[in-house]
This record gives sequence, C-alpha cells and structure tokens, in this order.
Amino acid sequence: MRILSVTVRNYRVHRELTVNFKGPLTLIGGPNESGKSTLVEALHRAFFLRARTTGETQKSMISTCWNGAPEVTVQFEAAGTEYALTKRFSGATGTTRLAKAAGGNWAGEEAEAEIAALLKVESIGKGRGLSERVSQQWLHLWAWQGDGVRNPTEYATEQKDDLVKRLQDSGGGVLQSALDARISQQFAQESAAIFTQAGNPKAGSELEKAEEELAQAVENDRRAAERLNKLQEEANNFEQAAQDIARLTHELRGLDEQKAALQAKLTEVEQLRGVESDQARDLTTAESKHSTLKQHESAIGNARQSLATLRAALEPKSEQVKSLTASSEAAHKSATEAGRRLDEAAEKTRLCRVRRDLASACVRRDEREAALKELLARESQVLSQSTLLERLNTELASVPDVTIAKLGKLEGLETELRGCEAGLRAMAAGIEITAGTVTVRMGDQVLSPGELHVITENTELTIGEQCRLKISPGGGTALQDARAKVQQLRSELQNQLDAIGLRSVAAARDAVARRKELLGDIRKAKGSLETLKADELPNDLAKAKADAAAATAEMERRAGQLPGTVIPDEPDRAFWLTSEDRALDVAEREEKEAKHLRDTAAQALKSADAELQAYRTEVNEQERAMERVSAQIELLVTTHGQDAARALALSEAAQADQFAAAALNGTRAKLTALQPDLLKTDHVRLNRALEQTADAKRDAEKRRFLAEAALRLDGSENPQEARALAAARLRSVEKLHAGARRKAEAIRLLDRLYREQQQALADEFTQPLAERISAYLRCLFGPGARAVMTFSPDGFTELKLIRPTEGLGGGDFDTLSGGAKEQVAAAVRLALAEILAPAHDNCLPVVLDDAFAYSDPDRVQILQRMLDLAASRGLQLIILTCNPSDYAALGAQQITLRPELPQTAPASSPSNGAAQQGPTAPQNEEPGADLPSGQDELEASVPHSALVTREQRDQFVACLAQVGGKASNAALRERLGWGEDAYRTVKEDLVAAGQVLRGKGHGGSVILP
Amino acid sequence: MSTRFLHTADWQLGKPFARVSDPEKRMALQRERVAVIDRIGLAARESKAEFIVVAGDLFDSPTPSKNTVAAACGAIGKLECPVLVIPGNHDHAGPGTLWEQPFFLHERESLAPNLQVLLKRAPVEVDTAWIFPCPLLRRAEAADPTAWLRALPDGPWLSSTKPRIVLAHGATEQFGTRLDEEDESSATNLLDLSRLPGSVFDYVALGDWHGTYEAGPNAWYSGTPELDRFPKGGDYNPGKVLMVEVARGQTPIVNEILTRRFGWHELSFDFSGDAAFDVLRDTLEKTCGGRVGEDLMRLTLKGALGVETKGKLQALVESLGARLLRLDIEDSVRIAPTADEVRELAERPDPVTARVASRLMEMAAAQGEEAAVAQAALCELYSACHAH
Repeated sequence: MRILSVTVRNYRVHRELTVNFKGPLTLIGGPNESGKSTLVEALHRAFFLRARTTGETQKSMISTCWNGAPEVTVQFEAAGTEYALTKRFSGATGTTRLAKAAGGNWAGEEAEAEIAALLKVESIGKGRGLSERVSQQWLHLWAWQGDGVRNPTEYATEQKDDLVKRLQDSGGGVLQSALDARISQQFAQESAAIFTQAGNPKAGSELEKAEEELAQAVENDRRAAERLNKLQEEANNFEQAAQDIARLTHELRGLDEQKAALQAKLTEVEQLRGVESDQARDLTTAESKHSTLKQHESAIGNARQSLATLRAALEPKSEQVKSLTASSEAAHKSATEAGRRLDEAAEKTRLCRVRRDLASACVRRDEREAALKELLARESQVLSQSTLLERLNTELASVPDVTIAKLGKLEGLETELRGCEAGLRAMAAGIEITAGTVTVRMGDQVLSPGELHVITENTELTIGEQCRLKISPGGGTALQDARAKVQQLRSELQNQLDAIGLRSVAAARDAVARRKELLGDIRKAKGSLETLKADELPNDLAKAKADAAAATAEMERRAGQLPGTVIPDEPDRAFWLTSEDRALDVAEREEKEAKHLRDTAAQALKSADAELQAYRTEVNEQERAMERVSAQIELLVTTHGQDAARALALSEAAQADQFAAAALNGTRAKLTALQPDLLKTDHVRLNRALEQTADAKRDAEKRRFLAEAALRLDGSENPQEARALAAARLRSVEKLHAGARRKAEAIRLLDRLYREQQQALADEFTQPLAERISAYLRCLFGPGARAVMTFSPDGFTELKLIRPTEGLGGGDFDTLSGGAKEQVAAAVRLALAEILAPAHDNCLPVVLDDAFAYSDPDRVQILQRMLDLAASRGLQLIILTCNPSDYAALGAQQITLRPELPQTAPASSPSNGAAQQGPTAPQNEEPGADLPSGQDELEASVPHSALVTREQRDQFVACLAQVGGKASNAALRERLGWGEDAYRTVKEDLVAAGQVLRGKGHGGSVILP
Repeated sequence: MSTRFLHTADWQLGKPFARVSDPEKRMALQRERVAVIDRIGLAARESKAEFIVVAGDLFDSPTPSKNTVAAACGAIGKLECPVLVIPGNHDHAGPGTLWEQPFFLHERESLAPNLQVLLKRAPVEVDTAWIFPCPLLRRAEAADPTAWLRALPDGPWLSSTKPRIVLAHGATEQFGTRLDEEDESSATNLLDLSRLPGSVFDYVALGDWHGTYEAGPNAWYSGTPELDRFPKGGDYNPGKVLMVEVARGQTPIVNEILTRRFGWHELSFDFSGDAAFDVLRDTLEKTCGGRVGEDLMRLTLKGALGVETKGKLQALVESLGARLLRLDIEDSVRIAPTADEVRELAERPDPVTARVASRLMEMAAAQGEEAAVAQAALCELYSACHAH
C-alpha cells in the first residue's frame, strides 16, 4: 500500500492543499502552525474516520477560516492497483467515494467497508471516544506528534495477530497450540496449588500433608524409640545394678577377710610390743650393771694409768731440780763477785770525783776571784763617767734653752727685719753726723758722729739749740708702713730674745751650738755608763764577792777532804782539773761496767732461782697428786674388790647384757617384719574401703530398686509394639511422602519445562522482528546494538535496547532517554511495517510526525541512515518536521508548508465565510516538481497552543488530580465537559509542556507525572 | 515309660504386624495367632498328647497388652492338657516383665490353670516326664542357658524311668546368613547342644527358629504354628507343630502336624516388555486365586514398561493391595515409552508439548531421583494429553 497524493480542502487551516508523494521518502517541512500535523491527521481520517461522523470529531475538522465542509482526497496504491478516495466530512451528510483505477466505484458504507478491507483493519464504529479510537488505528505506522516516545510494545501487541501470521509466514518460529496452552495452564495451576512462590509446599496441598504426616511419624517413632530405649536403659541399669551388687558383695566378703587377718596381726603386734617392753627393761638393767662394772674397772685402770704417768713425768723433773740447784749456786757466786768488783769500782770513782771536785773548786775559786777583780775595775770607770756626766749636766743647765727651731725662727725674724730695714733705708733718709760739734738731737736722742740714723718718719732734728731740722722721708705712707713693720719685727725679735734671755740672734746661735756640744758629751757619758752596766754593778759586785768567798770556802773544804793533796799553783789548776776529769771518766766507765756485770749476774741468779723454784713447786704438786691417786686406787680397790673378783663380775655382766640385747633384737625383728605402721594405715584403709564398698552396694541396691520400679509395667502399654507400629508407620509414611514428593516434583518439572519451552518458542518466533529492529538500531547505535523483544501469547511484554557499551543487561525501553526512546520506537515501527508489508504489496507508509523532537541534530543526521534503510526495503516514509534542514542529507522529496492568513480577518464565527480564501500552499522544493495551483501562501490559523488558556490548563490538571492523577482520555474529557478537539488541544499542550504524561489503555489515558 | 506330647514354640502372641497399615488386616493377623491355639488343641486331642511344651516366645513382647494376655490365657485354658512354657528372648523373664505382673498371674489363675510357666532352671516333674527348662531371664543371655544341664544336681529324676525333655530357646548355630530384616532371632542366646551330657536327655524341644528343623540328635525346632514372616528358601518349613513320642533311652518319634492358615508369598518379576504384564497378572492369579484377606505378599518388580502399561500395573497393584492382608512392593520398574508412545508424545502437532515430552524422555533415560521424577512427569503428561 502506497499513498500517492493527498488533497485537503477546508480542513482547519487548509483551504486546499495537495501533496504528491513521489518517492519512498517524503519530507514535509514548515514552521509551527503551518498545518503539518493537520495534514497528516486529514490523511489518517480519510482512511479511518467514517465520513458521516458527527459531533466534536467532525466539528474539530471544520475550518474557522474557510467555508465549506472539510474534504480529503487520497490517491493510493493497494492490492496491485490505484485507488482514489474522497471523503467529505459534513456530518450526517458526509460522503465517501472510492474509485479503483482498474475499474470499480464504491460509495457510502460500501466504500468504507472496501477501504477497511484494503487497509486490513476493522471498522472502528461510532460513539464516544471516537476521535481517540480512530487515532489508535495504524498506530504502529503512524507516529503522531508527541507520540514518538511511546513504548512500541503497546501498538505492537495491537498488531499481534497480523504479526504472528506474518512472522510465521516469514519463516519465524511457530506458536504453541491450543492444547499446549491448556496443558501448560493445567500444570501451572497444579504446580501453583502444590508450591508457593518460594518453592515450598503450599498449605493444604497433598505434599504439605504428606510432609506433615512424615514429620509426625518421625516424631512418633522417635518418641516410641525413646520410650523403648528408656526401658532398655532401665533394664541395663537393673542388670548393671545387679552385677554391681554381686561384685560388691564379693568385694565386701574379701575386705572382711582382709580385716580379720589384719586384726590378728595387730593382736600379735600388741603382744610383741609387751614382750619388747619387758626385754628392753631387762636389757637396760643388764646394760646398766655391765656399764657400772665397766666404769669401775675403767676408773681403777685410769687411776693406775694416771699414777704411772705422774711417776714417769716426775722422774726427769727431779733430775732437773738438781741441775738447777747447781746452776743457782754458781750464779750466786758470780753475783757476789760482781758485787765486790762493783764496790771497788765505786770507791775508785768516788775518790776520783773528790779529787776532781777539789780541782774544780780550785778552778772555780780562781774564776771568782778574777771576776771580782774585773768588777772592781768597772766600778772605778763608772765613777769617773758619773762625775763627768754630772758636770756636763750642770753646764747644760746654764746654757739658754734655745732649740734649733727657735733659732730658725729668730733667724727668720732677723732676716725679715733686715729686709724691712733695707727697704726703709731705701725710702728713709739716713742721717749720719760726719762731723759736728753741736749736739744734734733727734728727739731726745743725741746723735753722735759716725752714727747713722735712719729717719723713716717726719723727724725733727735739733741741731744745737737753735736749729731744728725737720726731716720728712719720702714714700709717704709706705714708709710709714715699712717703718711700722720694722718696728713690729724688731719688737717681735726683741720679745723673742727677751723670752730666751738672750741679747741677740748671734747669742742664740752660740747657745744652740753650745747646747749641741754638751748634749753630745752627755750622751757619750751615758753610753759609757750603760756599757759598764753601771746599774747592775753594785749587785754584781756584791754577788762576786760572795761567790769568791764561797768558792774559796769550798776549795778549802774539799782540800780538807783530801789531806795531803798537793794543790798545784794557780796557773796549772785548769790542767789539773782536766786530768782529774779524765781520771773520773775512766773510773765511772769502769764502775758502770762493773755494775753491768753485777746486774747480769744478779739477773742470772734470779732466773736460776725462779726456775728452780718453779720446778720445785711442780715436783711438789706432782708428788701430792701421786699421793692422791694412790689413795684413790686404794679406795676403789677396797670398794669394788680385788682385780680377779672384779674381772669375773664384769664378764658375767657382759654376757647377761648380750643375752638381753639378742632377745630384744629378736622381738624387734618380728615386729619390723609385721610392719605395724603399715598395719595401722591398712586398718584405716580397710575400714574406709569397707565403708565405701558398703555405700556403693547400698547405692547399687537403690539403683536396682529404681530400675525395677521403672520396668514394672501393669500391662496397659506395650512399648515394643508401640515402637514397631511407629517404625512401620514411619516407613509407610516415608513411602507415601516419597510418592507425593515425586509426583509434586513431576508437576513442578512439567510446569518448568512448559514455561521454558514456551519461552524458547516465543524467542524463536520474535527472532525475525528482533533482527529487523536490530538492523535499524545498528544504523543508530553501531554494530553491536540489538533489540530484545519478549513475546508471550498475550503479546509483546518487554522491549530492550542492548548497546555494545552497556554489556548484557541492556536498557529497558522505559528507562531510556527521550531521544533514545524516539529512535528505538521509530526502529520498531519500521521493523513492524517491514514485517507487515508483504500483506500490503510489500509496502506500507510510515508517518513520523515530528517523531524526533528529543533527538539532537547529530543524532538526527545519523538516523537518516535508518530511514534510508527502511526506504530501501520498500517502505514509504512520510516525515514531518519543523526543521527540514536537519534532513538535508536524507535525499528525500521535500515539501514545505507555510502558514498563510486568510485575506480577510479570521472570522470570529463560522458563519462569516463569504470571503475569498486561499489554500495553504505547499512549497514543493524538489527540482522539477509540479507546483500546485494557487501558490498564494496563506497564513495558518492561530496556533492551537495560543488557543489554550491558562484556565484550561489549570482546569485539566486539577480535574486529573481529583481523579487520582490518572484517567482515560474519554473519562477525563467527559468529566471536564469539553469537546474532543478542545480536550485534545489542551492535552497535547500539557503533554508537550511535560505537565501530563500519556498513559496506556484503550483510547489512551493521561497521568500526572 | 513313654510319653506323647506336642512340641511347639514361637507363638508370639500380640505380634503387632506393624507393617500392615490397615488396622483391620492387622487385627486379622493378630487374631489368627490366637486362633491357631485352637488348632493346636485339636491336634493335641487327635494325637492324644499328654501335655504341650512351648519352647519360648509365647508372647511377642515381655510386656504384652492386657488384651493379649487375656486372649492368650483364654485360649490356653481351653486346651485339655497341661501347657508348659518357658520365656524366650521375646518374652524373657527380666525384671518388670509380664511373668510377674499381677494381671497375668490373675488371668492365668482364673483362665488357664493348666498353664505352667517354668522360670527356674531346675528339673520339673510332670505325670509322664521330667522337664529340664532353660528359660531366658533376659533378652540376651551372655551365658548358654543350657549350661546348667552340664552339671545337674542329683535328684529324684536320676532314678526315674520317665523320659527327660529339655526345653530351651535360642540359636543352635549361627543363622546369620539366614536372617532378614524381620528376624529378631536370639542369635546372641547361643545353645551349645554338643556339650549336653550324652544320653542323659531323651528329647530337646527348641524354640526361636520359626521353621521346623532338626537341629541335632533328638533335638528339634518346632517352628511357629502360624507364619509371621515371609519364608526363607525351600527348607524353611513353618506353620506346624511337632507330635513327639518318646521313652527313656529311646529315639523319639517326631511327626509334623500342619496348623497354619495364612499364605505368605514372595514373588519377583522382571518386565522385559509390555507383554510381560499379562504374565505377571496370570502368576498372581495362580498364587492368590480369588482369595481375599488370607494372603500376604512380598512383590519385587523390575525392568521397564511403557507409560500406559505402567499405569495398568499401578491399577493392578492397587487391586492386589486391597485383596491381600499385606503387600510389600518394591517397584523399580522404569518407564520406557513405547515406540507408539514416543510418537504420540514427541511428534505431536503441539510444539510445546512435543518439546517438553522429548526433554522428559531424555531425562527419564538417566538414573537417580531426577530420572524417577521425569518418569512420573511423563505419566502425568501422558494422561494430561489424553484428558484434553
């Protein structure tokens, strides 16, 4: 089927418009409101809307610009020939004419039926929602404006039956048979009755009952087994207890026997202990006796031994005493001799000392005498010096006491006075009478010739009596001052001299010299006196005198001690003393030696005596000890008998001792062999064991009693039978369960296999369609792109776009972007058309009204490949766009519509239709194309979006919200009370603005986003 | 002096027959164990037996229910001669067991005064014989219960001319190879008859082995008088009592008397093709005839059958199960669709069903549970195809 041309008259904006479709690709361009959509609507209604349609649908077609009923003429090819179809939509008077080029005309209902047959559609009928229903026709070929993003599975499903037929014809798979459907449904139902979604047995199902029964049987069996086991256990307990009792009884018997044996041993031990005690006592007695005797013997022996020892020790000591006595006597003699020699030496020394003392006394007397003489000489010297000093002192006292400092002062005064007098003289006038006879007086002073007088003041000289002469020295007051000064100095000097008592400074100077001299002499005299120790002299002299007298007396006394002694003369006496000193030294040395010898001898004597004395004492003591020991021996022998008697007694005692010890050892050996300590612990142990064993036996008896009680049944139950029944029941239930389970699994398997095979079949079936869609998609999305369309007997359920970049998952159609949706939907439309085309002479028109509104220009460029592919596969493509330049590369026949205003203002009411109206002009831009007549461009009617008021939009949305945000178009329009066109216009406006979404459903629906 | 008596054992009264799931059938089996006592009584009367010895396992359990005890005492009381019983491994005389229960003592007193339970290992004198009982005092005796016979105490029996009869329960040889799952033989209670003093005893009456069996010189197992399990092999000879005639120092004369009623059958069948199904049906007809409620069967089925024939087999087995007192079936028959079935399923015009059927046939050809599930699924599919 191919559309050749369409002519629209008085159809909304179009007064008369003809479009010729010349090739497989027709691009109808034109700005908004130029009537593109109106054109394709008119074309669509020519095919699918009955001419006699009335009401809103009809009214919506009527032009507000042009008078006359809307009319559409379509020329098309179908069933191998050309047809011309004209419909005049004038309401009830509408007409349909169909003419077949090969001959044949139809009109009215016949024509409508013929068209439906040619287009292979069913008549759409009349009534409510007609407009919406009509628009659904051929929706798989017809992409209305704004419909580009609609999910193609909806309209593909609408074409299911045709598609199935075509797909089967074109070598696709086969669909399941009716029997397949029934059986698969049966198994699906049965499986659903048995299993839950999760695959578990469903409550109330046979399988679930079987499982419950099984669980119960298992539980019953377990209980029965438990009961039986319990009884068995009790029987075992009984058995064990009985065995334990037997064993314990046996053990108790053994323990009793052991205890009796132990008791016997303990008695024996007790007896042996008595015997041991007696024997020990006997042994002690014997030992004691033996020991005493041994002690006696030992005492006697010891004493004798001691005596012998003492005696042996005494012998050498007696000898020693003798020898020591001799030594002592010799020492005594030596000491006596040494004493005598010492006496002699002492006497000699004494004589020497006397002589030397005499010599010494003589010398000392001489020395004293000399000293006395010297002192007497000194005395005379002192006397002369003292006399001299006395005289000097006397003289000094007569010399004025002028010190050198005082003299200096006097000389200073004198010098200053001379200076001042010189100055005075310089100023003053000197008067000297060189010769005169007349008494010249100056004042009261009579001047003598040769005397120079200095006049320092106004002085009146009286020369003689008649002459007075006043002399006034020059210098004024300076002279006065100088004269005063001189006066002062002179006075001071005089006063000073007066104080000393001298007349002049020269005299003072002399006095000072004299004093110095005297003082030197005095000092000298005093020095001599000091040297002579004049102070000590009287004492020294007295002492010297006494000493000399004493020495003389001493000398004489000593001389008296040695009568006859010739005392040498004085000068030799020193020598004599020296020789006497030497003689005394010799004598004293000899005496010292003699004394040393005497001391040594005395020491030797003393030590010899001491040793002798010590030995003697020792010997005496030993002798006394020996006496004591002898006495002791005597006493012992007297007390304990003589040696023979004692030896016999001792021997007897030793034997008795030995016998007693042997007896005791024997008894002890027996005791040791019996191990009394172990016997004691054995006793404790056996008692303990007996007690424990008896306890254990009691416990076993208790256990036996308890087990017996548990085992004693009254015959009202038979656990063996119960267990056997439970086990058998379990086995039978297991079998039933296995059967039920197997049957259930079989049903499930069947259900699964049916689903799998149905799916496989459906996949095979949709393969050709999917391949065609994929071919188109590859034009858009590259070599790996493909479509997956899921088909179930109810229709297409899912469409996915799988792009190579997206991996296996693929994008469900509804998740795609607007642009991708448009493109995929277009691909599906083309593929559907391609599949369905063979029933329509291998060609079907596909109308794409602004179908790529969301696609960007680049993608539009690419999708031209897809459109070209469709064209090359025999389809007729009619593309409407407001951007024809985007399709420049398509190579399509291009037609441009331009909106044209009527020459008169648009009539505000349809009745105003008298004016001349021009058609909307198609601008066929294809080179060489026929230009339709009436080229005047008309302005299109007011854009319908401009006709939609804000109130209308708000009303639409509010009403939709009121019914829950979702409504079928028919219902909502009715609720709004709007005409079909008004509703559709507002709806499209809102859809375009994205304020409502298009929904599915018969007649379409709208949804709030 | 000679005597004539009946030797029986292993009555196992009160055996639950737990594997029989139907309570009525179970009851019938239990009742028959009591009913056989009447037949034993008849045999005793006809053979003029002076007494009856029961060599252990009179009861199935050491603690049977009161009903069982009452029924047993009632039936025994009707016997017209003394009945001498020892406990076996099933009804051993352990602590708390029925032999000392007041109820049993009372029932015996009032219903079966002729019943004499021998609980001691000591010679017991009856009118015409000396009995040497070897009761089991616990389920599993570690020592040989006949050991006491090897060193008997002196007594009046020594000088008696009455025949001496040993009464014992246990295995005389290892029956290990002959045990099956239902056997509860007292394999642990071993009796070493070879150690019994030679020529001291004239007859050894044994219990425990459920078939009649000569266990040694003058020593017999009587077997159980009414079968309680499927027989094992040809020499297994159950369902009888022994009539024994014995005199001191003489070889005893032993005669078997049939007492059993129910048939216990064991059958195995290997299907080589669907045609074999008819053979099985004929065999079953021969085995059980038209009897209902009198037979028990252990049926082992192997091989492979087509889907439809397998369904028929299923129906047959259901019918059999209803008729028999007990049907133990081990059905490992695989489903192997016939050529027609394969065509019908896998080559049908319904594409999904055909594919599913092919897949199932692949799976069913394997082994294991998955294959079994696939076979079941094939049956379901087959019947679904026929139903629609």
